[in-house]
Amino acid sequence: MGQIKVSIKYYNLLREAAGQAREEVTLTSPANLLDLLLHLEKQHGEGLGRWILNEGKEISPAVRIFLNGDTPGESQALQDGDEVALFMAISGGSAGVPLSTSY
Amino acid sequence: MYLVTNAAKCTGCQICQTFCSLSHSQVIAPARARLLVLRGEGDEITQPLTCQQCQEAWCAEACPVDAVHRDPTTGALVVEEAACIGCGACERACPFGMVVVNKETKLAEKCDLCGGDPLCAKMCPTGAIAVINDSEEALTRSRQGVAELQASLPSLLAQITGETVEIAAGNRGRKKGVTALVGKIRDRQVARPLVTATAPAGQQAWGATPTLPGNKQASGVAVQDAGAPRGTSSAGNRLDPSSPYQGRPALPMPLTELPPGHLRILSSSVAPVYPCRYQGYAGRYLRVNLTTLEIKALPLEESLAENYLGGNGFGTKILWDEVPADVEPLSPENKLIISAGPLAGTLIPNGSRVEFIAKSPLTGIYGDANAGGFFGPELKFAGYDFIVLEGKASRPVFLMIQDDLVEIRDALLLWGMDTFAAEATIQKALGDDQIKVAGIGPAGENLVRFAAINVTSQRSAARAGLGAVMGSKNLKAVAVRGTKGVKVAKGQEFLEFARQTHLRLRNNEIFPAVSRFGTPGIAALMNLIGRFPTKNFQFGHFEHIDEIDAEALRDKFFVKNLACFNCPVACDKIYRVNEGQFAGTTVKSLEYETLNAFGAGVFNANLASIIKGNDLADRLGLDTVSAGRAVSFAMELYEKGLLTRAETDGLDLEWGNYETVLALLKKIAYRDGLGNLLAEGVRRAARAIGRGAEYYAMEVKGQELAAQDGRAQQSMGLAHATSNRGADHLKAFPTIDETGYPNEGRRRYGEAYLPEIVDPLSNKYKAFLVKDGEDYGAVIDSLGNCKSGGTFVMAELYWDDMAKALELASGMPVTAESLKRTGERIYNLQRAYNIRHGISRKDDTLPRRLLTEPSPSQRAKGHVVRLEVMLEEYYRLRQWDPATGIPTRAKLEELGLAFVADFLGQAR
Repeated sequence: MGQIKVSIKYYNLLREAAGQAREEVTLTSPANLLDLLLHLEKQHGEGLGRWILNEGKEISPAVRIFLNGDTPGESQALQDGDEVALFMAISGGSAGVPLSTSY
Repeated sequence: MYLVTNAAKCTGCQICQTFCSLSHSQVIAPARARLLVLRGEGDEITQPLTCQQCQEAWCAEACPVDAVHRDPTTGALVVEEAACIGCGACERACPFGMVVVNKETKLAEKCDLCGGDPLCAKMCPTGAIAVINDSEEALTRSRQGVAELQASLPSLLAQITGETVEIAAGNRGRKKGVTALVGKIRDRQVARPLVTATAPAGQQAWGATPTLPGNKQASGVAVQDAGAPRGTSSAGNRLDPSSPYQGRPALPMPLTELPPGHLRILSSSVAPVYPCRYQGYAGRYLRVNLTTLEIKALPLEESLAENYLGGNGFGTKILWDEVPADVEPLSPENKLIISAGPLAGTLIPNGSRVEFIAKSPLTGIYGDANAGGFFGPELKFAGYDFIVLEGKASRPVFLMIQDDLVEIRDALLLWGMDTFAAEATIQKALGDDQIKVAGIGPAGENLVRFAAINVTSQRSAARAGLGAVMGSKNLKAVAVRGTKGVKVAKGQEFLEFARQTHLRLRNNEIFPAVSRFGTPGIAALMNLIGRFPTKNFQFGHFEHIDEIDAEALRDKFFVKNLACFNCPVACDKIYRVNEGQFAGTTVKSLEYETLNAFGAGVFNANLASIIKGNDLADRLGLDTVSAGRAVSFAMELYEKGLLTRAETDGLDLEWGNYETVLALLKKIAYRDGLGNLLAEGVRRAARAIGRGAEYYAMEVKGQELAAQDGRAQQSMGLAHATSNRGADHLKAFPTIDETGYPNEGRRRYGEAYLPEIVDPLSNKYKAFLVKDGEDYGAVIDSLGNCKSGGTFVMAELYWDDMAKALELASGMPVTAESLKRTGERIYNLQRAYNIRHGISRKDDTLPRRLLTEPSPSQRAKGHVVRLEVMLEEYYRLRQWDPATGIPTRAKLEELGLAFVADFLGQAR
């Protein structure tokens, strides 16, 4: 158990939902990506949470996560100093999850 | 009940109008809708105008036979058809132009709130039209709405139309002005003749008075002077002094100063209407010979529709039949086909597209380009499925189509103008700002091999250099105005199916991000996976991405969302530069491709200069992809010492010098110095330069690569190599593997293909993905739909959906299987056309850099495009000869293309 610092970079809708382009969060180790997203939801509320987590509080299939420039597995453990980039998917396919229209 | 509108949310998509017109009038025609979308001021005004269901019901009061009643449940003022005598008193009484007497049925038509469930509000994707159900609030809002409209509508209409009107409450006689103006916008003047007044003599500003080339009355209609004053015009509408339009008077010039004879009709014809077995189609097409000025309207052959659908399917077949291998692309013998598909102008998202097809001057093979906006639907509304343009005019002309009236007009006045000025001049001269124009700028006139066709100043049909084909024919523009609408075979079912497709798109999880950011939204993501070409594909990652990505664009330059016809996505945005060197520059769309071509591709992080470059390219009529690649090619040669300052007209070609980028765009369009060399495209330019320059020419089959580094997404490498129009991502358009979309991969292709099919770095199943995309893309490009509107981006609508849409629209029996076969037929015919021009497997390749230089960027680091392994599988799936890449006789016969096998001399 220890504290790790992870820097987050938000893109597109997530930047607007988080109200910032970057931030640094402190997590209790061990932590994986889901732990990170749950932490972010707690910190920013439903405005961000509705995009990154589904109703079952799993990682939304519409969110794209890069860890240090690569695509990680969901259970990959985070390390101190990691850089995470978070996007909403913006091309490709759909999982058919209904979301309200918002311009 | 009351419909409340919000102009700030309106994107101008006209979905409200299309659904309304089909629901109420059994035809898809914005003109027939019971509400309007006002549009003006460079599309910065888009505003729904709805019936206010006024409490002081002027329409009901005016009716001499009491045919207008208030529905007690909804509060709507409803016309009782059995009682209506079509006298028009209600139309004249309405202060807002919201009641219209149908000229055919002689019955008054107005909004009835759909009996309590207004379709316009239900279908509006942005909430720009919403329903107030509470009766007390509805009353209050209705009163407010009337007062607000009385105060605001005259100035709004004046802003849009340039004409002045007044509304005086309670004085019906003086309300005619508004009704007439709204009616004009409403497209009601089906039979209105084009302006024929003669301009004042003696004010010829420049150039010779046009003289007619021979047969003045080719089709039996008298030649008229036209293009003269309507309304007022002043110096206020002069172009920005930085316009590339050089050496001519600023335009649009005051119309009172139009030299006599300009824009005059050289030839005209009234097209007959032909019956067609299939709905969705207009049932006729135009064949226009620009050499003889002959205009013919001909019936659509049903077998053409059955086998080739429309759009680029039609264009492909016509090229095959009529433009043989020995025809030079820039000769009069080449033909330009402008073709809308059966779903263009309909409710299926997004039936906004129009295809331009010709032999490409850039590649010398099959060429096509398409554009959204409103031109394709307008062509259908005018009653044409396609136009074949052949020959060459002896002087600049433009084609003007207004429903059945088709004219070839003089365009000497327009020649030399930029695309926007030409469009504005046509609209102003002919007194109708609803005319949709597809035209060329100086680049097309100067036969730049990657000249674009600008479409309604919002979109561009940019690839393959088809603007140069127009230029070679002395054809400045094609302008169209249509008020007829499109009929569909099974109206109610079609409407319901279309409604479902819209809702599916709007509920797609990717929709919000695509809507909000448009195609630039993927820039940062593609940069992160190393797919964002930088410095002419030396890298796949741009270190200054934060300065040019969608987020920067939105933060600093966003003005409003703008949609193409019937599109809920509205991926276009108006962007404006508000300060600095490029202050005042406004563009109506700026795509991912342009961000890359004028940004990372040339190592430029100045976003305002990219917007300026986009504006310049649109006005000059240049393909931003090829133009950007031409510049980055030159910059890399400069870096490598293959071009010296002595050869660059003194320009500093250092990476990132945006002044040089902008200067080169102009030099290319006007074929000046180094620009003249680059105007030939990078393949020809590299051959001319020699010294190993070919290695840096990022092209396939002569066309420059778009912004997908195949080393980071293997499927895109294959897509660029096999595309029938030369390097291109949009034919196969593999999107589900960009960053891995397993859910959609599973839904479209099945579990067996996972995970490789959605892994961008895997080669497995990519031939399958590309082949499927090419066939499906051929269908989408033939139906008139958009690939960014749910068929590829968002991947929501697939074979079954499009088959059902076509069947319901046309009445033709269609299944997903038959549609797949049709897509494959069209794609194979394009390939066969290219085979006739000497294309074979050797040409299905990529620039050596992508095949031999491992990517230095991101996840793609160390990867090259492993093309051969994908190509082998691709030919096998296509049933093409793996040694030559030529379709086998068995495949051609299976697709009903035995005539192709015969032509190619294949043994039986």
